[in-house]
Amino acid sequence: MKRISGGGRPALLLLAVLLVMVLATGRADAAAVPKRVISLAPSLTEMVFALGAGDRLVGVTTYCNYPPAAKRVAKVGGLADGSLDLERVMALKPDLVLAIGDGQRRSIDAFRRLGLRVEIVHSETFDDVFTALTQLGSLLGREAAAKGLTAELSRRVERVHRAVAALPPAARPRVFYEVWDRPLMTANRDTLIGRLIDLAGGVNVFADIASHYPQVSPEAVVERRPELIVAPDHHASVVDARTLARQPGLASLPAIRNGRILVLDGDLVSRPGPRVADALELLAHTLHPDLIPVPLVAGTRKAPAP
Amino acid sequence: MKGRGFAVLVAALAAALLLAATGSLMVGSAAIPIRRMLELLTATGPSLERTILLELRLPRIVLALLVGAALAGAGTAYQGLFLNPLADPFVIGASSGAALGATMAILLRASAWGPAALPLAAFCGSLAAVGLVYLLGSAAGGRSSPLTLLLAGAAVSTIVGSLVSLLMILHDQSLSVLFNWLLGGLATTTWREIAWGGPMIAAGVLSIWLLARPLDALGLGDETAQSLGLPVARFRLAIVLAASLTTAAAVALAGIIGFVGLVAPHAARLLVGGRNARVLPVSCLLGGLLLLLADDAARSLARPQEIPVSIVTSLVGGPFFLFLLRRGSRAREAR
Repeated sequence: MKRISGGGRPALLLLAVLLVMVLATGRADAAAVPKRVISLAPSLTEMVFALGAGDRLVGVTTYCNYPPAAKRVAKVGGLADGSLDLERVMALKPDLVLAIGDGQRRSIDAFRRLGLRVEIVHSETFDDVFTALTQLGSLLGREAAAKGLTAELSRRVERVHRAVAALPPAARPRVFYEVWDRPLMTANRDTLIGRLIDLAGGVNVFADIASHYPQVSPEAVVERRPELIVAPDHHASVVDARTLARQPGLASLPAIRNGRILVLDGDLVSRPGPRVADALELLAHTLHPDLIPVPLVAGTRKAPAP
Repeated sequence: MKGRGFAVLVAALAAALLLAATGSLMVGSAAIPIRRMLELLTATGPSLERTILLELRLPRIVLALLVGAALAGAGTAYQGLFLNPLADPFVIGASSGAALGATMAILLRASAWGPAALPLAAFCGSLAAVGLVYLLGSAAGGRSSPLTLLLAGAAVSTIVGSLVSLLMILHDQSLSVLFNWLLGGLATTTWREIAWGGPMIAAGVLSIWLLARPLDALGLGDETAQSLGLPVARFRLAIVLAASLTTAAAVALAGIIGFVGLVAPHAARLLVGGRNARVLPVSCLLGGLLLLLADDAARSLARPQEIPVSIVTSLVGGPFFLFLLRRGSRAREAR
């Protein structure tokens, strides 16, 4: 030490800085390509699979059911704080935990206190899908895949947009999305399905309401005369055209009389994930079959007329 | 109050009810002027406005009257039976039982068997819980006293309530289904539901009314009632049966709606005194009126959004109850 005293001091400092940098980049490298990933949301799980990194998932939520391979991954609990199994998460020794944030704050804090790396990937709206894919791409070292996927999704969205953009208001069918039957609930324009209806060249009859998933009166539905009714395939029980038509007052609507009903996989329109383009094309095709002549996407079905 | 005054009061309330019901036909998110309404009622062709009037508004008006009267009637019976102003239709487990029945139906996916499965399960759960409370309450100490019944009711409600919580935590995806169902409301009712629920409520309320005099006697305390030659236990069972049948039907039709069954009997007693044969009809009319007006508010205040009707009844009923509380404490101070 004595030999490098004096003029050696800066050299020592430089050495230390270099050492820290090497260590830090070494850590960053290890972190950049996580091998054991836990996803705390179905939308994130779908995106990780779509980026070709599904084999790195060691834990997902009980709601992660797509793609089918996601069902074989260990379950660490539900979506929200109270239902997440912290011990299970720790036992899986993840080097990256992907969270959406909302309703998971307490668990995220706990994971971080325990030394886990948690990244929050915001995924709520239609536009979030693109930023989330890019963020996941860099987190998982799949930047190229993310770039390719977002480009492809943008292309498909753009195709629908070009087809319906010039439609005058009168040519845009009025759509009622039935989130729930008893009580009757729908979605406003700020939700994923609300945005999809807009983009697909339809008019959400309850776009204007302030809350995201408002309870509405049946007579307001009748009054707004929807021409197409869209519903997820499950409420309290299985939904089909017959159960929809049986609801009080709805039988008289043009949508029901003309059999204009689309029952689809509810996950498709409630999960801001890589399948949003599928959902968009399906909706656009149902609304404007002449403009968007695509085959139906797997996992969805059109309800037969009652 | 003399007999004549009572008759006038009942007639006035009935008239007010009729007026409010007619007025309620005009309240809703769709604006239908009176003249157009008369045309629609006489016209035969189908139209959306006609659908709104006859298939949406009219059934929910009828349901509000039925359920309001049912809750008020059951509340009158329980307040009389337990000599307790805090008693309401759900005091001995009817609501937690209904919740458990509904939960089981949801978890067993019973709605696949038909739209009536869920309300039917709630109905049975409600009756079963009250039955259990009655058995436990009367087993304690050899014979039932109002107090043991109330305590058994509190205990069973707590146990059943935690069972519901446990089931829902284990199946948290179904949580919102139950929550939505319990909040209930009158919006999505159909004539078919009214056709099976209406007679049940009518029979229940009528039974309570026939039992009004024994209820008066029970109100004097068990010893006094017994010395009057009343078979106390048998009448108590009959009253519990009638009130719980009424409550269970109301819960099955509209979910758990608070405060109507608590407030209406109090208001009725203020108007006509303590005799149950008079309290009951007035209470039922007031209950129907209250729920009808609350539902008008629920469907029009935030239109086209719908407010769960139990929120409205609690918002109105809560302050009213506080008012009664203040009156009561002032009366005690004056003594």
